[in-house]
Amino acid sequence: MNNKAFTLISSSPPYGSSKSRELIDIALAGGVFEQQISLLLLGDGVFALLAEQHPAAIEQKNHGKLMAMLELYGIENILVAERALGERGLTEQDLAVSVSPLDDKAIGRHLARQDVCINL
Amino acid sequence: MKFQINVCAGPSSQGAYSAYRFCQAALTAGHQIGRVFFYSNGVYNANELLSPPSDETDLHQCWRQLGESKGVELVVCIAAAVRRGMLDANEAERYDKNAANISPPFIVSGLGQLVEGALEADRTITFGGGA
Repeated sequence: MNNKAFTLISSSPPYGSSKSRELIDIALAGGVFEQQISLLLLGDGVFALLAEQHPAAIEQKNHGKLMAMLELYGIENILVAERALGERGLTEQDLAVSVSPLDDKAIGRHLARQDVCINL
Repeated sequence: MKFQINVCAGPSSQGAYSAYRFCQAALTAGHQIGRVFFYSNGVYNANELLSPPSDETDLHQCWRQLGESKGVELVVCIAAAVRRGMLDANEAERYDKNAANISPPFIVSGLGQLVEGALEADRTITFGGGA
């Protein structure tokens, strides 16, 4: 089996639709195939990384915990649009996992190096 | 060129229809469609109970024909499908339901098929958006 670089792109917030969770499921499946997986969070997608999430109040599972688990599955490359954090008044200290904040040009350079990009 | 097509949009949205049109155009131009993978709300395309008015495009039948006449592999994500009430006969039995709404040429399988398809294809294209 050959090896490819995958980037999974989310711009949807963690609750309110199944997109964020279903994208993580693709990441996990890619991890099983031992592919090079990056997760790229743009726009409201960055909310999935927040450390302080209390979704029990709306009977949902905690996305922050799910994100923190990704490392165990070999998915360590979590990229975040620096601009998306700033626009939402967030800093890296608000997040449940360590991330690489990228400016728009760096995001473009990253995507240009990928074999497969999937955006739900 | 060999394409892997991911369909994440439901049958009443432009995303799913564009995916189908892309498949047709690619085949006409002499390319190959390795696999169509239905994920997220895209699994609803496999619902054989869909009954649109007769003067509207029946996208389910379009996909079915693509599978039957062109031999395109139509794979529905099992996890995304069962949580949306989309079951083939095996899953209907497993979950003790009295009806099934997925049948060949649509087959249910795991997300690994999306990854594997992307590895085997030259290009992977995802059609999303809509409900």
